[in-house]
Amino acid sequence: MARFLFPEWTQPLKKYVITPALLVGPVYIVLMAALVKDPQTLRVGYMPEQPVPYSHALHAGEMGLDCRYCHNVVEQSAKAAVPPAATCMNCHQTVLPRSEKLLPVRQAFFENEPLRWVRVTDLPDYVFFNHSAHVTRGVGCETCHGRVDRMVRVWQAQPLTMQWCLDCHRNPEPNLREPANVTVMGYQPAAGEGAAVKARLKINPPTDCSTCHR
Amino acid sequence: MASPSEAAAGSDGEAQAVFRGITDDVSRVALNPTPKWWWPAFGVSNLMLLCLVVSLYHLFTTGIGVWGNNNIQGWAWDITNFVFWIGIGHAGTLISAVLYLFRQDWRTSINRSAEAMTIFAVAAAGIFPIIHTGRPWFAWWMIPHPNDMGMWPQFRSPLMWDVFAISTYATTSILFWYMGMVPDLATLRDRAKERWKQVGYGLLALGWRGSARQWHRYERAYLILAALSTPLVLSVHSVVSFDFATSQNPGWHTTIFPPYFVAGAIFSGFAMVATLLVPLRHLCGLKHIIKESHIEAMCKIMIATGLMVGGAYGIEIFIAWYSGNAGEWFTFRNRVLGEYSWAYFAMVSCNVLVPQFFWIRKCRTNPWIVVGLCILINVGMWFERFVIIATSLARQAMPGMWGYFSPTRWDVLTFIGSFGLFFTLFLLFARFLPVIAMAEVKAVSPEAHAGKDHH
Amino acid sequence: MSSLDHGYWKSIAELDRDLPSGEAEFTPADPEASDDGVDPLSRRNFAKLMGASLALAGVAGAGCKRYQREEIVPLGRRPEDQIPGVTQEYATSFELGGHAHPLVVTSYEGRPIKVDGNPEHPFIGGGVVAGTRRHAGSSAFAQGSILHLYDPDRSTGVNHSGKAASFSDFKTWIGELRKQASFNKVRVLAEATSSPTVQALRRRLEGAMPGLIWHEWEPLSWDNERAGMVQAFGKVVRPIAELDKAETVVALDCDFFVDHPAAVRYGRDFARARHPATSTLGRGRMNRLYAIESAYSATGVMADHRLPVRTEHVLPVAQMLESLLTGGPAPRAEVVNEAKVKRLVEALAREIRANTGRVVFLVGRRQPAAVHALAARLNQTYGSSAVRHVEDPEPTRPTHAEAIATLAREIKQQQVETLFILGGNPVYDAPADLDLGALLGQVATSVHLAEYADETSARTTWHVPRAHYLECWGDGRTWDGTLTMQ
Repeated sequence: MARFLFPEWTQPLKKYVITPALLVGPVYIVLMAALVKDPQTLRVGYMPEQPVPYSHALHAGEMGLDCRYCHNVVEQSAKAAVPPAATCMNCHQTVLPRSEKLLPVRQAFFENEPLRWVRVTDLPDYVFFNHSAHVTRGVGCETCHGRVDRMVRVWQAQPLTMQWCLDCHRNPEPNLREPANVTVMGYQPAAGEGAAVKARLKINPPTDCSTCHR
Repeated sequence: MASPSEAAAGSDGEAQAVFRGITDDVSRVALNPTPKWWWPAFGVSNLMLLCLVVSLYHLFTTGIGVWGNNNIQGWAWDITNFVFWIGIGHAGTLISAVLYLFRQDWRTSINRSAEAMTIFAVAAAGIFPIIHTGRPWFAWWMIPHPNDMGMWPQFRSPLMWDVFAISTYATTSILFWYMGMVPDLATLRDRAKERWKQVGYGLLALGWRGSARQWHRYERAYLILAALSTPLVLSVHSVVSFDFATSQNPGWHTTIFPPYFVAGAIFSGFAMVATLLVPLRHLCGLKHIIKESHIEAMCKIMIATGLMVGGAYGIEIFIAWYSGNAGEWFTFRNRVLGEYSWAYFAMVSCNVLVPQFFWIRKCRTNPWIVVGLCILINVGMWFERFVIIATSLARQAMPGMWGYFSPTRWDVLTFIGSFGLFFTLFLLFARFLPVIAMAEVKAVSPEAHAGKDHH
Repeated sequence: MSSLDHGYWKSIAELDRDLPSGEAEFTPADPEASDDGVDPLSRRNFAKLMGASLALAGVAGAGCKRYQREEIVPLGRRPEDQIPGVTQEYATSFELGGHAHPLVVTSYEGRPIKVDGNPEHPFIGGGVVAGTRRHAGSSAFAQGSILHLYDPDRSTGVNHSGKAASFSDFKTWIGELRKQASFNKVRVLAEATSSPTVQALRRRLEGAMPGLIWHEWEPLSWDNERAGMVQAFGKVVRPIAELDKAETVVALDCDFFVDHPAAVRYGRDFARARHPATSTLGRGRMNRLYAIESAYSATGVMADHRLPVRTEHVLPVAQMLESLLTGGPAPRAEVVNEAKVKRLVEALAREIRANTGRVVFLVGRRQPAAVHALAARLNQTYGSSAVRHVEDPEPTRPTHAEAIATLAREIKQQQVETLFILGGNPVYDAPADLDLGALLGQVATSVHLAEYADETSARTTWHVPRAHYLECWGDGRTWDGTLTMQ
């Protein structure tokens, strides 16, 4: 029997299929895997359904409530803290007091059956983030949370990856503003504002591991 | 190597017969029905390999607490086995690359199997650094790549250098081995009877026809790869030794480590080659190709490297004393006379005393004695790594950091399993691939030079 | 349930349905509707589609998921001072053996996480350097108590005759008990407490249920000291050493750094007179501690001179010391002729004479009343300015050993039908010759209030789980009588 050599018809296959597949295939697979696994892909845009169809667009956007009306501990605590139902009831005792959509809020307030909100902005459990440290030093809410005043249902606006955190920790100036304006949405900092805030508040963000992983 | 008198005896017809004889004998191993001894050997190896699979499963699902390692003995059998296997691999590269560049023609009979041994040893070695981290699924983090954490490997760490050294070594060794095998694979393809073997070997032979142009390019590529591999003989085990030498730990922090490790690696590698080839040449009927003189040459190299290793042991202790460093001296006294002295003396007797028997000619020619002594040398070289790792960690600066390592059954199973992997791969190689570089053997056989001498 | 709840989808149809519902209702004109993840050209959606093909290739795998879905559950009404994510500190006290230990507890969102001494407490507050206000000690027992709070083995429900019952069952039974004509056969066996509230409730109970008798039992009791004080002074008083004023401290089988209701205070005061640079005795001076004890204790470790003797030899050694000081007859015991004893006692006597007025003798609770009385006499003479005495809050109560023996006798005489055991584990720690475990079988109905279902609970009719001190209000008194809130 004749010895096995690559027959003639395999030549174009080699040239146009096998070689390109070997050269490009791995690159394609790795790129696609990276693209799919990238937090920009996986996380940005995450928009879970909430127990109460609370619209930030309505409250913070149209009616112009300050973020800190509800998230009132954000300047003192590591947590921004989702407000207790009592905060909602400040208004909703008189505004839409019989709305069916607000039934869970009233249950939380009167029957102490807490609301179970779904976390949107979720960092891994081995990451410690302190809201007060950022808010009191002029990192705006929208820098991490996006234009919440335009979100009907809240979705994740930024990838919140370690790289993303580090980018700002290494060069905070573009994201700094006068601390008085942290809750302003769509804020355009004046030229040199970030640098001025950084100098005045002596902002020197640490980048060692134990800053966040402690 | 061919002497004129030998060459004169040959004629073209005789030479053809001799070449055909070589081809017949080597091809027979791969193409004939499976010999009887192969199945039991393969079965035992597979059982050992099963130990590896089971112990790794247990390790991954439970954690490295299943080993005897603890806070004090952070490294133990895991890294011992790693260094042991990497060392074994070195003889293959030395034989195939360095001896090729130095035109040591006797290497041709053993280089193929030695290279195969290198690759399988590196495979067995590569398991350990990956599993000893406890989170093997993050091993790919050692490959530098852009990622969403903005993190890169620590390039200043010798453990990272290890990653590059070992992966380069594995890649180069595989290329070298496979490329050298292409002409022989073509021979097997041509001689195979069954269609599936023809196609299989045909695909592996990459369409080799044996044309002059192919031979020319082949020789060139082989030379380049040999030149590339040569520095690896020195660099890989030097980098492995840096894992220890760059640390601050007495007993590890030693400048002598790179040459000492390389000598030890070649020593153990040759012992392993001899352990494998002496039975192989008997079982596969290759005595006339892997000659007694080849075995003897390997024994002589073992004497030389054994003496180097012995010298290193002496110098280590001398420097520990001569440096006047109390910590160093304590560590070495403890290494020799402490709780691990049994391991130290096992190491010294196997590595320094055992090779001295090779001065006696009978010990170099009797296959039983050669294999026995080589196994002892391998035991000794394993103990050398164990002694370096375990005794240096067992008595650190603070008494609170004193401990003793006792292996668990999972340590033992993993170690046995690594042998299972090695032997399984080697047996597959010995059954299905050309165990001897036929083309090269022919090229350096006396008959190949006969015609030339007539001119 | 929409699949967007978890952020991924299982079919193309499901993907198409994933437009957020109810959007139009809330914002008729949402300026950035295209930005919220429904944009067909967004990277997320592109990757979703690519993800399908990659999943086929086995590349996407399990890595392509978001983190586990987490919930944020805020309180319906947030307590006034609570800031989520920020710890709060509050003062409380922990009662052990009938004495309160003042503490400051750090609490995180309502959960205690750390126990410390109360730096502002008049009895134990303040640090080693006199005048510091930021530090205060706590004890190993106090530190252990927080683990106890979260101990999963704590009892969680009412038990009746070994079977789970409800608290309302128990209340029903109590209601029936109250309807009884006579309470002559109702007894209470309570652990010692210094709480004025509990004592007031006890009086109220005794008034409401005439005939009821309240006994108090504490296994590790300071009753020997009370007896010794009666011998020395004719009444029950409580000695309080002021170790920061003592040049010489003599511990007679007394581990006052650990095993004393005032251990924290004693540790602080002792340390204040210990460091020559800051010593309360004067610059460059330090106190000296002698420990005569039968087992190695923290105090013995700290002592400048330690004399190991058997427990029963502490009395003759103390008598020897007294005879050297006052010239009385020497005890006849062999031990005082031992060279090591002689050497130490003679040196000690010389030192005591030199430091008259500033010497403190402390006696451990396992020593008999005679040693306590002897130490009280010596303290009167040689420790006049370093030892004071305060009134005992309950000077007339029987000893704990008498109380439980009385109860056992009453049970034997069929005088007990209903027994409430409030805290403690008397079946385990009562004197063994009373065999209280067996006696409980003769009581028609018994109730055990305890944090664990223990040996006593196993023999009582009812077991009622008890709140931990960090879970309830209360009060108590420290060793010196200072009122302390819990």
